[in-house]
Amino acid sequence: MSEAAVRVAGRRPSRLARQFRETAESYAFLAPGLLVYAAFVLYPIVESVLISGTNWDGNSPTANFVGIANYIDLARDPLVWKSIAHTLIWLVINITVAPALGLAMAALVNQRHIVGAQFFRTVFFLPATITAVVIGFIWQWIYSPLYGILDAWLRDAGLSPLAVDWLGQPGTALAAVAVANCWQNAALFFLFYLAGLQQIPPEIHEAAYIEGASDLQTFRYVTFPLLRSTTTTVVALGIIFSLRQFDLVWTMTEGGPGSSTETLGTYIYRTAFLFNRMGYSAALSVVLLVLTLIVAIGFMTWRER
Amino acid sequence: MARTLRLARPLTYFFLVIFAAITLLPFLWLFVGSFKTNVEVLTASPFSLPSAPHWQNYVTAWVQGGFGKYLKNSVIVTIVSDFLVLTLAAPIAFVFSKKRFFGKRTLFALFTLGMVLPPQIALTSLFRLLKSLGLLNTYFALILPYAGFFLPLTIIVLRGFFAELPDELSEAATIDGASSRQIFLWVLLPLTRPILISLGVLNFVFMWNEFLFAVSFVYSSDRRTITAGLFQFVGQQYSDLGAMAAGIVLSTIPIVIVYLIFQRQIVRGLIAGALK
Repeated sequence: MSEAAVRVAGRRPSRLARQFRETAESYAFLAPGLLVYAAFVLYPIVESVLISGTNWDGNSPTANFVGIANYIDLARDPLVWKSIAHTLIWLVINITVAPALGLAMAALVNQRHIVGAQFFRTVFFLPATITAVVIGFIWQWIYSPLYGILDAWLRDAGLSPLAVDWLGQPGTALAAVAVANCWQNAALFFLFYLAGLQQIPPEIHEAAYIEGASDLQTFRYVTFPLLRSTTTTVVALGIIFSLRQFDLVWTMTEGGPGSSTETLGTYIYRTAFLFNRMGYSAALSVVLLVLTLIVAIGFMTWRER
Repeated sequence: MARTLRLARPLTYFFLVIFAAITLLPFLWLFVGSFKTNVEVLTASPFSLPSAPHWQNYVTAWVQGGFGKYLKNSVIVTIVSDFLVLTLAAPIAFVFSKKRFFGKRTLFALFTLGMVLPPQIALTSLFRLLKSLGLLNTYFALILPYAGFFLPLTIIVLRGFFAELPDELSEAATIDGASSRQIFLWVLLPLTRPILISLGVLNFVFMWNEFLFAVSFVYSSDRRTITAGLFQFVGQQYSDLGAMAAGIVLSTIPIVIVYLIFQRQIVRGLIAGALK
């Protein structure tokens, strides 16, 4: 054995030992949080799959194993497909309309020497800090055909035929909830886009204008590409919010009228706690899990573009 | 400040005021409504002011709705969960940024996963778990799931801040004979204080606003938090709309105060989260 080989051989165990020591030490730091995370996040996700194979009602101490019966029911349940479709509609709205509104507000605030910029910033962001339950009820008031401000306005404007029960009829309910949703999410996206805009040096815009670019061209070819990382974050959040959509829909319509605003998020809650069908609800959450993974893969492919 | 648009000044202010009005008017209108009697809400024009401030609505909401109780429950649940999350997240963020250990990438991926997955995926199984632990309808039925579900974002943001602290700090402390625990607690952790405060405020807002778990794992009004309590109250209050509005206002005020006081911390926490 050469001297070098001996040295390497002699070193290796000590390096390994150091790695083991560092690993052991690190896990001592990780242990408490990991325990809580494993018990209340990771394990429940796995256990949902197990519950989806039973007919547990949420109350009795035991449940029967029913194999894939829940999944067979699910494939034949038109509400499942409808709520998946609604979830996808939310996804589209939350990655297009809400970000566009947020960006528009950010661009307005981000101009030079705006009197009261701080005030507008505080106001524009306000809805993002308030629980969706409150937002939902406020908009329920706005849409009320009896005492709502929207229909009163429409009647005053001579548009009485348009003054309908927005949340009470299947044709308009989803759109009405979507408006409230965008109103709230635009507030958060506003903040992110404002932070993104503030990182762009003003000279870049000046240069574009001197080159003779129009506002639209400057936005399309200069500003928007520079906001790419912000847009990525905003789209990721829009996707996350859409897949878990529950609070606003549940407070405004409880998924109705009929099932016109039902999402996977509300349907999972309904089957679990209103119908006491835990097994079926768990099967629905497995569907949501699969949908989330598909969308996540799609998102990562888009991000790598 | 960068010039993003070349809109004429008056047009800019016009749009700014429009957006501000669209944001504020719903709140203002509900606030005005909370001082009207039920009859006024239903018969007078929605644009009218109350004939006289009907304070009774707030009494009804506070006494019948039990908002005092809900506020107390929310404060307890939110503050305990908040401290728990920060306490659990800080050491994890420390080793993720400063230590090398087996399974690091896998663990980090698992934490990222928890940030993305909708909480509904764990709804039935968490219910079963809390039921078998005898924790349903206690504060812990919310505290423990909150602690778990708010860990990922907190860890990921904090990790970024630990990573920015120069390694020379811990090296110098090691030479002085400090253990990893001492370095973490006495050298590095104090330096992350600003972001710890930001995350604490941000998590406070998120947890205060949480609704899905709050309506699923707690069912007696003695234990309900503000979001679930408000939901319950509104459902029973269709015969007294003024009181309903008062209840909505009552549950909005605390978080608006928190927002106005801690706006900078909230914004900093969110931006830090978005950049990581």
